[in-house]
Amino acid sequence: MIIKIQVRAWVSPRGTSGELRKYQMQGRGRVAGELERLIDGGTPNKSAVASQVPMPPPRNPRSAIHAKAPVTEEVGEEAVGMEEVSVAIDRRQPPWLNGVELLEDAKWNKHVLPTGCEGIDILLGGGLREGQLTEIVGPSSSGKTQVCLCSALGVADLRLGVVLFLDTCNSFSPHRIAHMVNSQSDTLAKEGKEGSLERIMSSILCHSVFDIFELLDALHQLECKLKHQVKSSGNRIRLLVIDSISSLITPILGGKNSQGRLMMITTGILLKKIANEYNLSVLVTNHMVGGEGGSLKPALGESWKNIPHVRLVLSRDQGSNVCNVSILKHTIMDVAHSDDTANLIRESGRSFGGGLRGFSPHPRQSPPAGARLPSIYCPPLSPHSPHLGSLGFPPPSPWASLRRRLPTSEWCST
Amino acid sequence: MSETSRFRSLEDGHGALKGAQTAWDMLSEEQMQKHITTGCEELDAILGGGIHCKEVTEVGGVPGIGKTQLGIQLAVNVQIPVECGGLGGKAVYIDTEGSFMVERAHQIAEGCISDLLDNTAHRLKDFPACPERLQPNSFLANIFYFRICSYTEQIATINYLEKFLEEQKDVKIIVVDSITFHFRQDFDDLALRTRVLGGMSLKLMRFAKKYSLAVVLLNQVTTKFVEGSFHLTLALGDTWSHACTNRIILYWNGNDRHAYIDKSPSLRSATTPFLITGKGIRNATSHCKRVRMM
Amino acid sequence: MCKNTINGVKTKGRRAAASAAAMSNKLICEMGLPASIANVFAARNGFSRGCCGPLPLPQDALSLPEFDLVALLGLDLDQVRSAVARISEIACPPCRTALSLLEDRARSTCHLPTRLRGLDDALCGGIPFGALTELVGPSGIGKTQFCLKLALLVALPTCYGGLNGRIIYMDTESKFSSSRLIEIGKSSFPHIFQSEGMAQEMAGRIVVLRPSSLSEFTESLQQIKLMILQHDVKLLIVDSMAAILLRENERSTTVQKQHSWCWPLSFLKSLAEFSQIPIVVTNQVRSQNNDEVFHYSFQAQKNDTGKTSERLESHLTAALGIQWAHAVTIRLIFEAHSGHRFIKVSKSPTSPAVAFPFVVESSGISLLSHDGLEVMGAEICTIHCQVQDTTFLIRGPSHTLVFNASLQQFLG
Repeated sequence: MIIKIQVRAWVSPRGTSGELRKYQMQGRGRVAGELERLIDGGTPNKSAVASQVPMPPPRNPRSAIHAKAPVTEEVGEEAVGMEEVSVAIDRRQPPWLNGVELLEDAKWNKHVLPTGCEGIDILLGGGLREGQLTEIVGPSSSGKTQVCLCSALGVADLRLGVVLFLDTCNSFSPHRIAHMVNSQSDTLAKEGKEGSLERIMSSILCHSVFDIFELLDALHQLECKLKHQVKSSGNRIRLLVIDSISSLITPILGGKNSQGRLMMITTGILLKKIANEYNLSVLVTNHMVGGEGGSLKPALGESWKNIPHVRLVLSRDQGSNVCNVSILKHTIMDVAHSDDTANLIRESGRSFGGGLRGFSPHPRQSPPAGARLPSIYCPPLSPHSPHLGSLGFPPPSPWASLRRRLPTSEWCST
Repeated sequence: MSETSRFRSLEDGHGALKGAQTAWDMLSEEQMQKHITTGCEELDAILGGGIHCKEVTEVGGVPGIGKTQLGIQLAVNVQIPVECGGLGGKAVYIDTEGSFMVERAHQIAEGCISDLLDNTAHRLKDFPACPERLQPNSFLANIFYFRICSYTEQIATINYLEKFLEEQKDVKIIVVDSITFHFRQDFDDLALRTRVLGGMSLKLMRFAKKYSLAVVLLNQVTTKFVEGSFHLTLALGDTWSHACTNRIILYWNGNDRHAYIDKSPSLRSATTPFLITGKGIRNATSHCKRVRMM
Repeated sequence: MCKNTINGVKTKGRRAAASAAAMSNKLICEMGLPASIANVFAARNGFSRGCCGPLPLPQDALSLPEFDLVALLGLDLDQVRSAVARISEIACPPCRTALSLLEDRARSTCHLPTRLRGLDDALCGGIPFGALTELVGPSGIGKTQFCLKLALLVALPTCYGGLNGRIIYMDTESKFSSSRLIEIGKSSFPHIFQSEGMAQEMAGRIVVLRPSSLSEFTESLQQIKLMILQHDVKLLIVDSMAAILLRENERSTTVQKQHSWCWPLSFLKSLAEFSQIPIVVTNQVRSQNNDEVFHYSFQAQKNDTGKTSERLESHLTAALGIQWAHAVTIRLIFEAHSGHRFIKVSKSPTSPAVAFPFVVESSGISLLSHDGLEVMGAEICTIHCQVQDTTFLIRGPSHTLVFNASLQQFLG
């Protein structure tokens, strides 16, 4: 399954080149600029790219030839001006990897970040995976922002690195995080507490974006920064949260032209690229709108659906603070159990305790789905948590199921 | 402590993102920030001090519950001088329904001023300039009023505010009464409505953040058929429900008006009674005499 | 034709609101955009009419996504943005301070007094100009009487405290009765109506329209728009709004219903604003189903227990729904309970929740007390109808009340 992620990342530059061509035929202006930048702007030369790849792996000539053939063919058909672009694309391509190397990459570079909420962690087999795009879908006030804040806190609290929070709804509340910190670390002495609060809060960065262009600008900036970032442990950006991406994209969708949709896909691809190359975990939220027959559906629909690796659905029980999480799509784990839910108690309050509290574990090994367990308060995971040790290896059973699933359509889906 | 400073320096070193702030800075900034009082202490308490600047707050309720009253009250209260613990700002009032009654605004301003003089008379002695400013008319002069007659004008006004706010830096609150009206009447194309409203809410979010002001949107209610029974819910549908940071619902509970926090990233849901008096919005528990018309 | 009226308004020197309303109808090419951009708009206008839809009005430019504009106009994004900003600035209504509104108010008449002292005080002087006022109540309670009285007050010459204006009375249920009008006039202003020809002149100022269907109604609304500007119309009454909308409702499907309801509503509101006259509409009541007691989903559980006792009473609710209720600026409820009839100020941005007991006399409605009774809480929104008064049973407004009046004379 990890292979699959890599393949997707491969496909993406080709996808954009196609769209770029389409765009150059009809469009003009800034959008084209965005796309060009996406393709070649960020990566000036090969050496920079090579230095980025964490464990420079040996090339495998055979796979490179096979994979490259269709690209060159396609470009050959195009007008003269496209050659430059194709050269740029070629140069831009990171070296091709074989399965073993990908596995190594996954093993050493793609960690699992705990979300700070036990229920979700168990459901996701450890938490948010680096290199992956996780999406949270839910109706209004179902706890999407709370999960985001909680994950940000989780990463910052364990000193894993810096969290970047891109906020589109003015919903990032430092007060709320401070409150969650204070209610968690009851044991610490007072001055220790203040110190740790400052430490945690300083490693969460927040940036407001109110426009799809600002978002793309911010992502490009981030990409440049990441490129020159020294690969050290303490303060590298580990988690990128965008709350909510749908509110940026809804205003540009619709109308008679497809640029809006194009921008959406571009953003998705860029996010996945950043996630994969720089080993970030990306968490985005998507809201729900009323569909046909009064049922709710995610606001970003069919064309967005295949972008995130993991989709979680949040819902809130009528008139209570219990939220349910279930997996809609997961590229690694067996989704046959997608009706498994974790229940969270949402305690959105200043006088209350630590935000989201996990309740009810899991899928397979424990009680049948649907059985409600009593609330278990979960203390924050320590840095030595076993989740961190597992380094991207999912539990054995998904492997088995993966083997079953791989040859099917999931493979080739782009 | 040494560790945190190390952290700081490293962070500054990699520079992160232009315009990004750390949560720590935001927290200390937020603690410095004053809130706009609603006039009702209990309501302020559940709102964490009042209506927050830099946030978009939506207020909804049945007809006659007091949405417009709250809107006018906030437009007046934002002008409470800094010496009296207010923001000393100005207000933009965007009226789509024609329900802004200037006589009522005058009454509320009078009520606000008389309460200020009662409560802070001793403090005001130190500020001799105050009495001139504490006139209902000077309060009214600081409310900028836009009367909107179609949804086109609504979009245009929100666009134009960008320029307006650039000139009027003192504006600390934008009240839209109501965001719903024209979008509910004139639209057949729901996809268009969703898009236009989405764009509008992003613009308002941007103003809130950029100029550090509060945005209060008043919304109407509608009935919705859920699980076999009719419920009241705020208008404009599910998409719009994501567009605001906070959502407050005003409703009748028995014979009292209550406010309920339906959605907020930082506040817990809570409910509190409030009262509408001749002077404006006040505490429900205090035995403040209601003005009876003679 | 429409343009003429707009110019007419401007020359008449009416309020800024009118010119603002006109502004959003202005064509983009007349807006004084930078020449290059204006040309592009003008050029695209003719050419794109077939394929992409025309762009003559600002609402098109403002509601299209930026990308569509880029494609349509062939400009780049920054140019489109500056053009949109410019159009917005021009289409935006003028900014006024609340103080200047207050000064305006002081200068001109802005309320139509009802001559019911208590009610006038509660409403800060009477029925406001430029707003929609709604009367809700069961049939036979006195809504039509109230409307007739208002019509009369507007028709009165200025020297007697009237407005000396014309009235348009949209009578959808054939309830308007000239004889009743004259009777009210004679008993409330005997000195005026005794003079020769005065009664005829007054009655002549009231134009009664009797639309029988919604389409006729909308058509006559269009004509009224012109009439109001040309003649000196000072009041528009629609009695009853509910009848005409509900009649239509039975025939049409839900989608049409949604649309056909909305149009008159927004039209009336803009008409009131545009021409600065008071508009009074009446609304009927219907009985409320028990399961229809609306609550928010978050308060669903806790309220279930307390409701059983109340459910035994018959509940009435306004026939036009919640959307209508939001749109009116002032709502007066006419109701009957504990042996009296009451007018309640149910929704008003200016006044507290008060109720006034009233009786219907030969001179129209008169209040029993000018001190309003304070109404507690949600009570202000409910509508009661206890049939105690025998006169309720005999239908037909004029006859009933003539009967009532003569009964009172007989008893007194």
